[in-house]
Amino acid sequence: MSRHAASVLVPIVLALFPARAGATPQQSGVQPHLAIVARSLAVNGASTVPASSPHPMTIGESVTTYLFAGRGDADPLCTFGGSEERARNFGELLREYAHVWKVTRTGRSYEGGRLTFDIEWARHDDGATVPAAAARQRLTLAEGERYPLDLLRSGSPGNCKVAAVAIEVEAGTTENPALADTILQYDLWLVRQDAEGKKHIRHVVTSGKQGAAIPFDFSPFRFDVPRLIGDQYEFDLVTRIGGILRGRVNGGGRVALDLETTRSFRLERPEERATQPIRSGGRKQLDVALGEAIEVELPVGSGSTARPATPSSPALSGRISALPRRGGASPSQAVVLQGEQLVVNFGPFFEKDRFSLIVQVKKADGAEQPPTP
Amino acid sequence: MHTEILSAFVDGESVDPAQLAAALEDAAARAALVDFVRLREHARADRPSLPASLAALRRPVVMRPRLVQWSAAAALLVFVFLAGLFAPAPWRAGEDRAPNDPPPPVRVERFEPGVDWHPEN
Repeated sequence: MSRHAASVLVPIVLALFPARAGATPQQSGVQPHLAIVARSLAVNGASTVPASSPHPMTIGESVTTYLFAGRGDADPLCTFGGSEERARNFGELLREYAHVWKVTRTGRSYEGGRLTFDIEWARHDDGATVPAAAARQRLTLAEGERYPLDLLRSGSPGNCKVAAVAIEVEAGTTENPALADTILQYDLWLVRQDAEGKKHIRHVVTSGKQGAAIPFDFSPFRFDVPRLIGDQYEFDLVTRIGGILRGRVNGGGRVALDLETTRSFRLERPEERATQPIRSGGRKQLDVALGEAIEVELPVGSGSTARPATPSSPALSGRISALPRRGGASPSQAVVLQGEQLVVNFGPFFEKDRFSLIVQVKKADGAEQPPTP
Repeated sequence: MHTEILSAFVDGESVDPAQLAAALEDAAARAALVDFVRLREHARADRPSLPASLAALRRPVVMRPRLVQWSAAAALLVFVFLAGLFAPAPWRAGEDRAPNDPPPPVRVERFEPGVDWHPEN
């Protein structure tokens, strides 16, 4: 194509097919923030409501927070609090409190609902200027996630019976006030397509405020497990799928959707209490228009589970065996007897099944279109 | 009120006899009645009428369809045609959905093991 032709055609093509502005949390006017959370843990297991200092995360900007606890032997960890750097003098805190933390975080990016930041912290005990513990690292957390920084145990609980103080960093967001009261309705379908192509469908409807974490669950699928020996227990392989949704609509009618999904497999007998399932899960950021349906396919199951096959089979020994090497031959049989254990291999068991989620987001209460943020 | 009753009576509408009697008792209403009659006779006199000998020349009343009626019918036909193009056809197979069936998705995405999916262990 000649340069002249291209200079004419390219703008025409771009005008006919404009780039679609996708919805991102930023376009919903969401402000990411980081909070340093301090929680006291009592000797009986109770924990206090955590004290936190959320601060907006700005790319390239550093924010420092002080945390402090304890005033001597009679009050090893009973007193604790926090302040911004500009509000207190670090030297005075070292003289006044038994333990002082200095935590500095610097925002690096906010993409797809995930905050990336550098964090540097140090703990000073008994007035020492040299830290007793310190670390520096770069973290990426999804909103709502927490990461532990330090755990300080008390030598003696004191009058308040506090055994330890835990310091964590938490990623979060603050909603745009113009959109914060928007109520979104989520229609979810779980579709299982079997080997014959027939679809088995579950449907749930849920709703919640803009940006809120909304849990969802579906009733399980139960699969018969073949009987391989005469006195084998009656087993079902039960598949449960659920998760958490977070949706944010922007002024242009598009939704930034954060979909977190978990799947568990469990060999179950009708008369027994639930046993530990084999779990897997994932999290995805999606961009959809209000009213559009989007399908997300789950991967084929991998791994296996095993249970004593008969009433006379010994229980599992509890020995941890090596994980199979990557690239090795995967089991080809869906259900096998290995010794006296009944083993179900998920890959061949679900070889011809396909599981997917379909999500559709609407405004729940028919409110008028919010103003463009 | 009395004049309205008498006006309706003069126009040939059905009226309540008791109300008619009460209206005729009213002197002002009786004067209005006479005015109604005079006005009607005056209106009849304004219409030109042909003598009986020329009645054969009286043109028969012909209902001519006005141009605006034809254009309205044409517009209606165009609208029905366009509506038929865009309205869903009930006989199209495969588009009916059971109440719980999902709508067709605009696209399909996948969880990728090792990328955004942590497999079973």
